[in-house]
This record gives sequence, C-alpha cells and structure tokens, in this order.
Amino acid sequence: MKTSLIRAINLIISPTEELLDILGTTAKMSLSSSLIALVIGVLIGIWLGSSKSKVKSVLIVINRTLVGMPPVVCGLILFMLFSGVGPFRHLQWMFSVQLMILAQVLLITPIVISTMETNIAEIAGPIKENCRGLGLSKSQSLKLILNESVYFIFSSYLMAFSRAIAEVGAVSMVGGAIAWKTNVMTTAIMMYTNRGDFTLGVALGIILLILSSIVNIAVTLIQRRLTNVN
Amino acid sequence: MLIKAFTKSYAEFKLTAREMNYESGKIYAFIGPNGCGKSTYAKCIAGVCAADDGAVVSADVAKIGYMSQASFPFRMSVKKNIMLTASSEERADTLIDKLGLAGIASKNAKRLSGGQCARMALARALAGEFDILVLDEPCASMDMKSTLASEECIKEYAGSGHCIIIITHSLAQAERIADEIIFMDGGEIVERAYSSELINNANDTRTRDFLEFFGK
Repeated sequence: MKTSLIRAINLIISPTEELLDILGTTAKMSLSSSLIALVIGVLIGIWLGSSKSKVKSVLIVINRTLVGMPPVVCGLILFMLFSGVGPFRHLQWMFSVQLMILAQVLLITPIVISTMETNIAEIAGPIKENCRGLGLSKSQSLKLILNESVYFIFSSYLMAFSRAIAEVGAVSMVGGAIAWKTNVMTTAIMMYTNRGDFTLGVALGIILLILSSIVNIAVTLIQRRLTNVN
Repeated sequence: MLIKAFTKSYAEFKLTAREMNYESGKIYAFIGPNGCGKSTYAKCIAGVCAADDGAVVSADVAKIGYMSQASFPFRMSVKKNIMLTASSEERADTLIDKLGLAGIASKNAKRLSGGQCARMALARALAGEFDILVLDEPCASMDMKSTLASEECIKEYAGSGHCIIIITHSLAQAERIADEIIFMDGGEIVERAYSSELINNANDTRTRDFLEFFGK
C-alpha cells in the first residue's frame, strides 16, 4: 500500500499521457453536465419555488423521485434508447462523452431543481410581496429573486459538480470506460483496481479528493465575498 | 379615491370592508386589536393580496404602494434598495438624510439591525410616486427619535399631494400624524372620524372599550 501511495504521488507530479487524458475527459464531462444541469435546474427550481400553480406539488413529487433514481437505472434507460436496438441509435452516441454528459444531466438536474425549489420557496413570497407593494415590474422581481438566490445557485452548482465528478454507475454503462475515449476518473479507478494496478487508481483518488476540496474552498470564498457586497 | 366594498375570507376569519373614500394629501390611521383585519385590509387595497370580490381599485385610477410589515431587505446596499423606487438620486439622498441613513447608505441591507431595516424600508416606500401609499406598522421596530423623524417624512409625503394609509398599534402615533382615524374590530370597519373626534367622542362601544386601554 505504501509503495502504491508513493508511486501514485510520483504519477501526480509527473503525469502520464493516459492520466492527463482521463483528467481531460472527466473535466469535459463534469463541467459540461453540471453547467447544463445548473441552467435548467435553476430556471425550473425558481419557477417551482415561486409558483402557485396547481401542478406544482405533483411536479415536486416527481422531481423528488428522480433525485433518488439509482444511476444504473438511468444508465439502463439510456442504454436501451441509444444502443443498437434503441430509437436513437442513428445518433451513434453510444459509448461517447455526449451520452455520458446526457446521463449526468439527467441525474444532476433533479438535485439542482430540488435545492433551488426548497430555498426559493422560503424567500419568493416576501420578495414578491415587497416588489408588488413597491410597484416593481415582473422582470425586476425576477432579477431580485435571482440576486437573492446567488448563494443557492453556488450551493446547487457545488452539489451538481460533486455528484458529476464522483458518479460511476451510469457513465460506465453508457460510456463503456474506453481508454483514450470515455474513461473518466471513477471508471478508471474501477478498471485499474480490477486489474490489480493500484497506482493509477490511488493517484486518481487523491486528485478527486483534492478537486473536491478546491471546489468547496472556492465556493466558500465566493459566498463570503458576496456577503460583503455593497 | 374610492375603494370599493369587499370581503376577504380565510379559514376562520372574514374581513368585510365597506366602501371608503380617501383624499389626496391626507393621512388615515387604522387602529384596532391584533387580528382585527387591519393588515389584510391593507394588503387587499394594495393588491398584494386578492380580495374575494376581485380588484378593489382599478390600477388606472390610482397607483397604490405598500410597505409590508415584514419588509424585505434586498441583497444590495441601502442606497440601491432605495433607488429601486426613487424617481431621482436626489430624492433618495434626501430621504437617506432625513431618516438618518447617511452613515449606512453603502452598507449591505442584509446586515442592518431591525430599526435600521425599518427606516430603509420606509425610505424605499416614500421614494416611490404613489397616489396612495399603505404603510403597515412602519415604525414598529424603531426608537422614538427614528419614529418622530419617520413621521415627519410621512407628513411631508402626504403634504406633497399623496394619500397615506398607516396601520399602527400606537394611538399616540395616530393622534400625532393622522387626519382621520379608522377603528377596526372583528374583521369590519367599526368607526371612522377625524382624529380628535374619534379619540374624544367615539360613537361605538367597541371603539370606546378599545380606547379605554390607552386611558382615553
């Protein structure tokens, strides 16, 4: 174990092309999917949190169900849709980064929606009441709700990114963990561990933890800065 | 400005408001015990809360502003909060000075104390151009000095041709600033009269019972 750890640290200091490729694919997949999920999730979350629509409670229940959807089920559904017998086979997305991003978006968006909806529901009422009382337009109210939601958006993004970077079930099913193509950090850890090669697995594990810490620190610093805004 | 008669029902409460006429340049104070329907009345006429009978005043007849009992400080500076409604920067600066907000004008409104937040919210409401401005307990969390400064600003606003409706638990405040006082009880408007007349010569037993608590 000690030897693997030393080798892993050496590998991080002098990364191989394969390691860099895995990191690049992971970054592409995680950043793209978390940003897409954030845009969709924030808009739907704000609407759900501030709406008085009758279908709201039904949509919230559906979304909460989707939050708990096991990643392998998501992977299975996409596999059936995009594989050789599926209706979307002509897109030829099977075992591609695009399909991995789609899988992640499907898994992460409900989390963003849920976080946004819960937080917005608490502040939307007072904001709308104050805006209406002050004669502000609907677009001004929306801008003010968005401005008040900055913390929630950052928190949601943190959760989305953390989930995207750490997910393994769905991406391995639809991506296939193909070296130099769809292999991401989590699938690579699994693959190399199964082969008995711990060095790359440990190196990737360390990088995952470091990345997670960096994201957390960055968000905390941004939140502090926003609290002091003038 | 005519406010139509309307009703507003909740699970165990019903507000029945009769038709009321309000004049520009005057201040009307609503008094009454907790839960009598003052805030519900205020919200309905401001259009913040829908009356059972629909709109109680047409938007093209009068522009009505409303300062909530629970004013929300937006996450921006005190001055920017006031500029949301102010017609000019000069108007905002005048209110900032008069309400003692000059030292905290650039401070994030989220970091204000209760009294400071109330003054900021009042300035934000008074900065707007409304035919009728409804203020729901605007001075509830203010000290006496701030209360008196606020009352001066409210009187000036009314003096420039605006109508003010103020909900208050302070009979002294109603007496100091209102032209007319309206007493509410049990979800209805019981009595309306010129301030001194209502305080010294209330017609209704419920009004007299209420005023007795204040030694009137």
